[in-house]
Amino acid sequence: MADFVISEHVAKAIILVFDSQVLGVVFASAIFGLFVGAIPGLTATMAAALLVPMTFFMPPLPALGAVVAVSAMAIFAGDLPAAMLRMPGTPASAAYAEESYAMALQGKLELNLSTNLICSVAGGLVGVGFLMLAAPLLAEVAIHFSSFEYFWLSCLGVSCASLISGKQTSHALLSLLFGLGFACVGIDPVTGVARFTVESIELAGGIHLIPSMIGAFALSELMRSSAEQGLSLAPVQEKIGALFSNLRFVATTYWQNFLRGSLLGTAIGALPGAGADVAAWISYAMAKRFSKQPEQFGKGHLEGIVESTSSNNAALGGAWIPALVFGIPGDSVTAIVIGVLYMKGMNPGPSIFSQTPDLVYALFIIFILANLLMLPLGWLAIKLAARLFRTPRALLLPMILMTCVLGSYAMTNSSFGIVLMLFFGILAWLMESHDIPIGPMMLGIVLGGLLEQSFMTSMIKADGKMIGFFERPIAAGLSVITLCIWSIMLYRLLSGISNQNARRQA
Amino acid sequence: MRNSIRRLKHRVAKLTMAVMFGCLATQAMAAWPSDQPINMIIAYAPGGGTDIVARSLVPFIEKHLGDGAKINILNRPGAGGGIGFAAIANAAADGYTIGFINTPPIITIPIERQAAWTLSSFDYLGNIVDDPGTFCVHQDSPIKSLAELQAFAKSNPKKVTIGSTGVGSDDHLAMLMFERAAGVALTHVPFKGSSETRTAITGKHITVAAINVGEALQYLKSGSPLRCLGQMTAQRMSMAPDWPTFKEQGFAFEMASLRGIAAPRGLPSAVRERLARAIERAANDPMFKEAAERAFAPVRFLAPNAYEAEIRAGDSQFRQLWKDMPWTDR
Repeated sequence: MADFVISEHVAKAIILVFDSQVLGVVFASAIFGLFVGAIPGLTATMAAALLVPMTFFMPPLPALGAVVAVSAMAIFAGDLPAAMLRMPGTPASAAYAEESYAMALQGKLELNLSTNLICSVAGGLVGVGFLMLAAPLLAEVAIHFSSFEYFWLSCLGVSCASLISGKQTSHALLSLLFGLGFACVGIDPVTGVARFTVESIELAGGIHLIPSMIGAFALSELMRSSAEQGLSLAPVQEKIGALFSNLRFVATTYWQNFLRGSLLGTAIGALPGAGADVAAWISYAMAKRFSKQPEQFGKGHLEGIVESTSSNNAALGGAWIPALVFGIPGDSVTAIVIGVLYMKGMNPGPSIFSQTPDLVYALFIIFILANLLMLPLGWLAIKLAARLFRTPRALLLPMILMTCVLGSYAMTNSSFGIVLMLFFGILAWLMESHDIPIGPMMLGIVLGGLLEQSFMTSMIKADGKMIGFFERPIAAGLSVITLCIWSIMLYRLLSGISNQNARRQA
Repeated sequence: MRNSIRRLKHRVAKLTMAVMFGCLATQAMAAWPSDQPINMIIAYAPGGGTDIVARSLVPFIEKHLGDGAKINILNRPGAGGGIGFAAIANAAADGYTIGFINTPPIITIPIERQAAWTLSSFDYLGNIVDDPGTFCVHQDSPIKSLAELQAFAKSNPKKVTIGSTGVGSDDHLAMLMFERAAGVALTHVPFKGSSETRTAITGKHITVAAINVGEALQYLKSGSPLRCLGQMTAQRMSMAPDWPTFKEQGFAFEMASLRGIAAPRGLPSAVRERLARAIERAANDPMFKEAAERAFAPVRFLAPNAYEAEIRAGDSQFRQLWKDMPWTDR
């Protein structure tokens, strides 16, 4: 009987979805998302927010379908400039921007992008799968994440710093401390005091992630390539031919990475306090930690890319889990979704499944459709991108610089964004020329706020007693993992130093 | 054949001329608000409560301004709204920059620290949303009224944790006013937004959630296990007729978050009047009202003078509170 009811709802849902208006809106939003995601400085959240006034005049389903399509496409499209220009299109692509760019320089741009595409599609589908099958269960776990759990999660994330860079651990830690330092700029979230703002109104808002990311990754690379290589031609690209012929290669070699990335991505996405960008960083570090050839990372190796690019798209589906089950947004895109849902007279929460089951199933179908639509549209985008990559550097570099400036401006809607971008570009250039990796710094900026906020909130709640960090079951589990990782790292660091000393003495 | 082509060419030329002329003419004629888009500054990130209200309202303001007016939304988030408010205050007063200002931060930031605006930096165009505060506990909590909360907090000083949307937020100030009125001491837990507060109260990580009535109704509707202890209003709202006001329960204070539209001080009077009129009509547009109601954003339109008066009244109230119990470390 229950099966019969479900299949009836699914049938109704299919009729709802395969309507020319719904499909048209989804298609148009997908193309829109592709553009927005590919332009650095415009995020998936921004793309969804731009849709809000339009969804106002739409029935619920196309309105939600538009947001789904736009966000899925934007997260994938962020990979394009990341690989071509070392300029992550959205923060979710920052974790593997360097690795992708290294591949492009080796002439493997198409292999990289097609892997990104396939993994994004498949990872997205895994996320949707969990959303469809296990949403209530996962949401129940996610709701038990309080500040104590987030504290340990951000500690785990921060520990990834040493893994995401191939350089010496001490250099990675130095870079991480820079990042955490920058994350302290702005108004103290607990006492309301302005810190390191040098009386500037703009700095009171803190260091914006996106302009600093564009500066650190793209501008520094721009400066280096024009200083070192001159205005030489783009590296010759290997022809991949049919983009999807390497599907089997990736599937057979890296299926474990894909699975781990998608699962972790879904789980992190489902947490209300962490989204696709954090998922990608942690997945990249996981890939390296469990890899048989960690020494290849950072030199244009596919393994980490597979894991993290699957992860960030899976996180999208994951973020809908608490949004639909509790009405609690899993990320900033689902925050908009919840607003749209209410405006359409629908109430996210347990009742949405019983009150409007057709619509929920229709939404799931659109999720799947949007991910499948990514294949042809993404393929076109890659072809276009590859052609763009072949333009002479002398023409490309000024264009990139202009995009950097525009993207940074777009984020803050003021020239402050451009100043930040320039500052981080020069800083990153100096750091890299002294062999200090910039990845850990960006990780510090991403996680610094969460780390501080969760620590302070926890201490307030626990009345200043540290034991609070170990009392709750999930927190205790996470703390054990974190502390183990830290001891291993410390052991390696110390033994590395003693080895060096031994060598020096010998 | 040749003839017809010539005729076509002629026609095209004529048409081009007409279009060019037309453009010139409209350009010469065009004036505010149709010659360039109006920027509306939102001091919060895309997707937040203010942002969504603004984005739903904008099409209606455009409609009632007429003449093909176009409004762009610019998000200038950061520093609890401080960056965006400063941008509105310091823009040129030419009618091309307007923005949403929110109480209490528009009032409290200049009290707390050196700010780039005062309340005299703005031309107030109209209030849109008025969302009063409330205190909610988890359904499993033994506390059933404000009196019980007071009694519990009295016997357990500093043990009651209360989540707010940040230092100096309306929720934080409401907590302070309750402490003052009830003679108790609570422990403040600042979060970054009301959805974090909500997660915390749902997971029983805090004792009390200080949120707004609209938010509470929204959360209740989506099945959050909350019990709301009252509303900080003068009279019960039509949205929540069953919740006693704080005043009825013996705690004589009101607190709300007003979200309205302002422009830099000194707009040309014709521009100011036209904007205010368009905003009033947009706020009263049934289609907007319906959507806002569904989104649990309580619309309470206030005309410019009444709006400014209410903000000034809030200012003297908060200055007194700042004297009694300053809410940031100085």
